[in-house]
Amino acid sequence: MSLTNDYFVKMVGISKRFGAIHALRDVDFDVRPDEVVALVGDNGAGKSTLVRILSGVYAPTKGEIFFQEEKVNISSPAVAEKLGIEAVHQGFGLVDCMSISRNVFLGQEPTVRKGFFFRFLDLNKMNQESDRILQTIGARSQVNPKSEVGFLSGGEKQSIKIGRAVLFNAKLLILDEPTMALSVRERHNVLELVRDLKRQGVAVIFISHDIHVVYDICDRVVILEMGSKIGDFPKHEVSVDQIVKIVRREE
Amino acid sequence: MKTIGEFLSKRRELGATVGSILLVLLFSLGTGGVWLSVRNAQLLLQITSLLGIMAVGQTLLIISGEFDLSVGSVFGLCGVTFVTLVSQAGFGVVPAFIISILIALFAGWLNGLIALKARIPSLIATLGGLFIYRGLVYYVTGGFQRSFPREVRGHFLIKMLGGSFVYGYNNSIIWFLLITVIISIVLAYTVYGNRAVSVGGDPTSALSRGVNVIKTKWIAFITTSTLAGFAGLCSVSKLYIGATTLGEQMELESIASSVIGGCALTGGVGSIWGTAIGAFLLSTIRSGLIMMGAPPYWFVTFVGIILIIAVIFNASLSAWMKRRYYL
Repeated sequence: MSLTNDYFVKMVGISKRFGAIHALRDVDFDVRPDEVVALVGDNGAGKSTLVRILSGVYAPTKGEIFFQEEKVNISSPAVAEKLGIEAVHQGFGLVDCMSISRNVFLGQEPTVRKGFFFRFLDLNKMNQESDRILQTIGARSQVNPKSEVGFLSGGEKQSIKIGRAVLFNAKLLILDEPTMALSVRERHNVLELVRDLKRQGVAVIFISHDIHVVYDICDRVVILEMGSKIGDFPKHEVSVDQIVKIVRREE
Repeated sequence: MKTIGEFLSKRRELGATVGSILLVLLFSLGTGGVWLSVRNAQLLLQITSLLGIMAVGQTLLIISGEFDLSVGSVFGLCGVTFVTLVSQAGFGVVPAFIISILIALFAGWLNGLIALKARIPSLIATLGGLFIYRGLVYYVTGGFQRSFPREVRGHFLIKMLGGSFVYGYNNSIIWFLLITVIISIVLAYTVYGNRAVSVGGDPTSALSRGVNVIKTKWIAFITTSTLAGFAGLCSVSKLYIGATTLGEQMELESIASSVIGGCALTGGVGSIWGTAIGAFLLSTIRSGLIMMGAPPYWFVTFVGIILIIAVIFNASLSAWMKRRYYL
């Protein structure tokens, strides 16, 4: 566990209850700048709950969050966004019935003034910026900013969510099972995108129940089980096999 | 490349438009051309407008993922309150107008409070409203039909709402067009519109992007109810009377207009212009059946049939689109 002060985000003593279910018990977790932290554990370990607290979707039952030395209250996703914490959640984050450009800017729509006091969406800017994202992620040629998200593949959806986070200058990117249900090629693209981000100095929390996916790109591995933290290692101290053993409780 | 087929298939209004054209043809032929007369067009457009103002609001609410069954009663309550305040309580026309509109606004706020804060499904919350506001209609009128005294019938505001500036064409037609244009612009080109679609399409995703889901839906509730009340005021300003049955069944007709116009009741998908055409279609059926000599009660049966055809048409259209344009 890090006792130094150079953390970027630090969560201390986080507990979360959903009625009778104790999803998290007294978990400490931190991320340092430009570090990729792999958050692993079996289904129901509390990985998603932990990052949803960090991204303002859930409020913790107990515990504190420090952001660059300062105590913060991340009461909503909008607050997280302001701090530079962008989350790519599993299964949601894009509205299927809307176009790519409208999705990219949802919640932070740019506007232009037309006439005396009317403000309208800046559709030109939205389309241009979205087009840049599509080029960065290497989307197929028939996909354009006006395409409805519901018609896209799973990999394209994930890439757009990550691309959007970069557009809004994320300092900390949270990826919750971003490669689940993706084809081999799509998974490769998403991992490449994460490597790019790391090079740009973005801190990343990468959640996966499969350590093989994240081992290559991570710097540190944190293991959760049944809502408690049971391991926190710099990558060079553990091998994939050791981590698998810990997750399976074979040690 | 855009083909005509691709363009048309992406318009949610397609079904309602085709249906309207067919009905206009049917009724024109069926009445030997009488139905096409100017006088009938004026009447038809006026009925369309009152329903349409309500339905356009309803569509905004359905797109944002909720719906409002109390609009018919709010239409009635606002109408009779306006008339009763002027005729029985001696209020001026303008204060009575303001109070009536505030009642509609408050009803919408209350619907939002119950549906969004207390998390009662909007079907139940507004069904309660349907009965409560209808009950208040009886309270306000005392069960009697109220009418504007002769001397206020020429008042400018009443003329604005229910008179005719363009000879023969009721002003509610202008209000309807104006409101339709405004709401469709709001939906397509403003921040609020973008968020309204998102909270209806996928509230979890919208919330995760920092959209205030409750506030967005609440605004839609208030807008819908206020527009319904406004339509009620237009109605009594035209007829000069407010009866206890004012606006009955209009809640279902407004939802039917939205659905015929291409709305999905699941939210996120719909068309304001489609709804306007849907309201026109329903009003066409009503007037056409009467002119062809069918007893008026066939109207509801017809509406049911058209509604089901419309839903099947719209659903198969989107399925076809998915097959054809899946990226």
